[in-house]
Amino acid sequence: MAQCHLYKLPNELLLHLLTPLPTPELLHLAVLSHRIYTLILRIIQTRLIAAAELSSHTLLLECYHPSAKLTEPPYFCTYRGTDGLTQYDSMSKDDDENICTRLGEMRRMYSCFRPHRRELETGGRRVRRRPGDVPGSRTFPGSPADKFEGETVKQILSLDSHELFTQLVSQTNLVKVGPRHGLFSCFVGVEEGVLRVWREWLRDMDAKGRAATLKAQWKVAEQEGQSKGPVRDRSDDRRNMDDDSILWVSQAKNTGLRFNIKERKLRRDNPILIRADEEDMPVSYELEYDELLVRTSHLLLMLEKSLVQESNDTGKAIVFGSFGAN
Amino acid sequence: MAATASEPKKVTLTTSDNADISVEREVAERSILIKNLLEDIGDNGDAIPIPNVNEAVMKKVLEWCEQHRKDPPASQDDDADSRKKSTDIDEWDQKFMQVDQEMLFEIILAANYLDIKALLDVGCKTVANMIKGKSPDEIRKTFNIQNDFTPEEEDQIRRENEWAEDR
Repeated sequence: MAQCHLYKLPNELLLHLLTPLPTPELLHLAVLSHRIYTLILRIIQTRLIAAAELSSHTLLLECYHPSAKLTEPPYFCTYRGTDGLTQYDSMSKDDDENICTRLGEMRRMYSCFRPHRRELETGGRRVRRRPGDVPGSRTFPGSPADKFEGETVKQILSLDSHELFTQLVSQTNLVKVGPRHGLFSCFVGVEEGVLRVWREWLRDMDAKGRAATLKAQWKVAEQEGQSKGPVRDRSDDRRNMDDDSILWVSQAKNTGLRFNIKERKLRRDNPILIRADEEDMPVSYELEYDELLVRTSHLLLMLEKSLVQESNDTGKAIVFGSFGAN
Repeated sequence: MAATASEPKKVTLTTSDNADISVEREVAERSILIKNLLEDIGDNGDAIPIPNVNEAVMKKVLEWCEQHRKDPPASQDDDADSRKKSTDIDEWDQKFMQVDQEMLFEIILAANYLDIKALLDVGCKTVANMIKGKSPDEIRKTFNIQNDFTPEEEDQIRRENEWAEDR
């Protein structure tokens, strides 16, 4: 029988061989054999970690009611973490026989980002200040150097009495902030879609949110004496991706949004001659963008696409950006 | 002394199968391993043992070193850079790498051992090009890779693998 000369190479050299290949090609090779499969898992694991941190690129979220298309600015997103990405080592030791599922697990991982209203990402770039914001003054929001991440994004959604749902256009892009302010040297669309926000869903989420704050207040009451603010626990509620509080942008579930929803109480009283349980009232909710979830593997593929775009564009002046607006 | 200055300095390498190969020092110093050795022990004319490489492979490697003797020393190029240029191999190197697989992988091993980064890269690129655009079955055949997955496992991996398709 003929020998396999490839396997004479130590793992370290096989890794060296495989590393230059783009991810889709690596996945294609994963079925070759156990040895190659484990090596590829390792490479992809490293790449996912690198992709999630997005050191050179920035995620831009555009999400608006169709009528606000021209007025809503894109939001810069900051990275908050990825579930399960760091636990790889402990897991692989435990169940070696289950390693075949590991690739699927990686696909089911999501990275969490939080959208912010802000001029630029924390990269030491100049931030355009609002007039009146003098550094050091009480109203000054802070500079990127102070770890100021920008305000969270809040939007008002209103539904008229006859409306069962309203819509949000959501578009996530991966960009690399270019040589000048407002210019991007790379621009890759991650996912685009229209979210349908249902009246009932808004109501349920508002109720859920209120229950949660109540619980949090209880907790705070119990911890009286400790001078800690009501910090919401992030650690114990591991994000469940089947949660109905996440609105997925498309069937592929590559990106999703999670909101904190609060009903805005209208000052006026209910009209007298309407039975509240039978007819829908015009309602208005405040949406606070809590998290943008992006499938880590999808992010990685898009990042690679962006790198290819970048290397193709060197020397040519293809500029994506918004001119004039700022 | 005048004679040695005009004539290039030679060093002798002893391969794993006890063959002595005499080669110009400049050529041999393409290998960082040999270069460091020579700097450490000083050139006293003794043969340098290379216990991990046999004669045939050593000759092939030295042929490459001879061709690339004037190349600038390898710069510390980052990973992203080498990823980009995964396919371009210069013409001479392509011809040079037209050897059977046993030799190809021996060259890669030797380049790694002797610490000749450029040659290692050429070798890896050659293998990468052999992989490119082939189905897993074709690749198994090309490299004689034994499929050690059970059909169920293979099926599962293929299913989990679908994320390569969405882009």
